[in-house]
Amino acid sequence: MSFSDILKMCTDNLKRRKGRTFLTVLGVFIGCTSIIVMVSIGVGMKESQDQMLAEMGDLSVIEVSQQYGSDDAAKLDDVTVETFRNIAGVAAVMPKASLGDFSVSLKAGINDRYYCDWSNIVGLDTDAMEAMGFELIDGKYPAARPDEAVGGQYLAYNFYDSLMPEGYNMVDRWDIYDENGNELEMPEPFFDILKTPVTLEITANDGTESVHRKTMKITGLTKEDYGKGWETSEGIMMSIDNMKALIKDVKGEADPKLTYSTILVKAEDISLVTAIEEEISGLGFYTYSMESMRESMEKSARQVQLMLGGLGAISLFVAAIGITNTMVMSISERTREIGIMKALGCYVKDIRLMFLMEAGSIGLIGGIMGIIFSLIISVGINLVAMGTLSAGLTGQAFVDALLGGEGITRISVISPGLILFAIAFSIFVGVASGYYPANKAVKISALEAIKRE
Amino acid sequence: MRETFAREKPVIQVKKLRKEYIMGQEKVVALRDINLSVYRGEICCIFGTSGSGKSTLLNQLAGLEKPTRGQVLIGGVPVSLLDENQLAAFRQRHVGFVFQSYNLLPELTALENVAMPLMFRGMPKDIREREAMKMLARVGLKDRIHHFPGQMSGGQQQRAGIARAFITRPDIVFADEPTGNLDSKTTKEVMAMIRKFARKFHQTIVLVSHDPEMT
Ligand SMILES: Nc1ncnc2c1ncn2[C@@H]1O[C@H](COP(=O)(O)OP(=O)(O)OP(=O)(O)O)[C@@H](O)[C@H]1O
Ligand SMILES: [Mg+2]
Repeated sequence: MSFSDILKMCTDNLKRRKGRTFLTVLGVFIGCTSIIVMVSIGVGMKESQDQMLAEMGDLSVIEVSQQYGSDDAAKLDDVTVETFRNIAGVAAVMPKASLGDFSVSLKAGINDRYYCDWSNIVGLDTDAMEAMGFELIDGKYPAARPDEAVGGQYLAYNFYDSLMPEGYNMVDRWDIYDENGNELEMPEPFFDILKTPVTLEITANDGTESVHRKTMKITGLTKEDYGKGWETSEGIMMSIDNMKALIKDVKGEADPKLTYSTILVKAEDISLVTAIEEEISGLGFYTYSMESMRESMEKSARQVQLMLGGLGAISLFVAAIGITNTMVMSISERTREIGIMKALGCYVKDIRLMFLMEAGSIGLIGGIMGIIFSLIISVGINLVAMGTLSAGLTGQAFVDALLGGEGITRISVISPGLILFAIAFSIFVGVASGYYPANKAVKISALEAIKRE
Repeated sequence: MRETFAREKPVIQVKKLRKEYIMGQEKVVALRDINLSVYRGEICCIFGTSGSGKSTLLNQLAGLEKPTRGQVLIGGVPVSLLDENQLAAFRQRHVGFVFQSYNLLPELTALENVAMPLMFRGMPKDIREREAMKMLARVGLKDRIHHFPGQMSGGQQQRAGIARAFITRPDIVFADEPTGNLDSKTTKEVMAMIRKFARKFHQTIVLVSHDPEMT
């Protein structure tokens, strides 16, 4: 039999029992839709995780700190810095020192009008910031001068205005929605921190309560990056020399052996992070990286995906049983017909192919319908999540909900790969569930044609 | 029980054919050591009372059932030894069937039913339907080609069945009581038609009937 003849026989048979075919297709349709929607939610979860991590910072940076608990733990000093520099795949190493036991508050403006009770002051190699992957959103890196430093992106928002009453003395940078829920620009801080010198007020914790003041100029602002440290958001970063001078100033003597609070190690490539991290922790240090966090998040996302996909798979499995059932029924109804066809010389392989194609078509039709419906559901969920339903539907909103884009968080993500997979899988489910009935059909004897009802 | 008209070399040769059915403890011997030769162009009629094993014999000859013992050679080929695939090819080339209950597929038109054996051979639709059209014209169903079996009388259905059996120009046509469901006038017409085709294409007919009047 030619392929087109087999195809015609199989479509004729499907059309002949429209109601039953429809119900069977419906089962596949529901199963396929639930698998696609479930998987798409899993993929969407991963997409928003990745977006979140990318916003949080550089995935290639490892933060190394000392092990807690024991005094003879490996120390973070200049020797260690050298050791790290020599590890294969390390692009840059940056030691960071903290002010340690001193508490610091910040003052700015005329008569110290603006104040900030607590800030994270860090000493680091300011010349290496660019190589480490620090990014400036404004201004420039400090020169090698004792009174210059860079601040974090949102440093200025930590200041209170002492001339304003309680409740109005702070600029809330998260307050970006108006009463209708529309997103606004972030409000401006009280003052331009690049043009206003900032005074560090350092109190020694040695019981003397002596206060040292040091006025510095903030020359630039770093882009927030939690991979490199929280100070890139709200702290102040100065050169290690400036930091040493500051400590000497407060203590009245230089710290003879300054150990670093943390050392940042930047890998040449994200793929090297895990290996470098293992080597460093093998040296007895505690390490932390966005990459290791990403890995564990990815792992849990994969588990959730598997679980969601499994839920969908159950309904598709039920649909597969439906196909098998329909085919078995149709074959027992057509026993005589199959017998006649055999007696007239129809090849067994043609009969098998006919039934496999019938089952496969049920899978395919259900799969295609499922894909279309899943896309509708997916776009719907995303539109609701994006808040476009209240803000008014535009063509762009539909495109964004379907394809995503910069800064768009989708709950459900259906990729072309997922669509192809769904089509292939639904055909496979159809054919697989037709396998047993088709074998039953080919076993029917030609003698059935002779038997009288 | 059988009646043959001898000619040249045998198309069908049956040697010591035996068929038993095992029904639980009991053994029914339907055919007991049959020897038989049918020659080309012969019309072989198998008569006998009900239950005498006519249908069983025909099924063995046509390769629809495997014998318990003995051999059936058709054109020298031992049909009982063929596998499913070889049997299908064998039936396509050498065998035609006319059934008592016509056995047209109810969802296909007369034309499609008659063309079906050619479809199994993989012949393109236009060629096989042209051929089927000719056959239907020969059996006098020219204006019934697009009718479904349910829309035709028993006699008309059986004529379509005959057209289907002969369309492949088979060497042998098997017919198990082809007129069993027809009245005597139609029976005569149908038998005349079978005879006419057999003469025309010099084919062998194996026919089962319980009515000796038929010849
Ligand atoms: N599938 C079977 N299983 C068991 N016994 C069978 C089977 N087929 C036929 N028989 C037995 O074999 C014998 C011959 O049956 P067969 O159908 O060949 O008779 P027949 O001559 O064609 O009769 P009729 O004229 O009524 O059609 C009968 O006794 C029948 O009971
Ligand atoms: Mg009989």
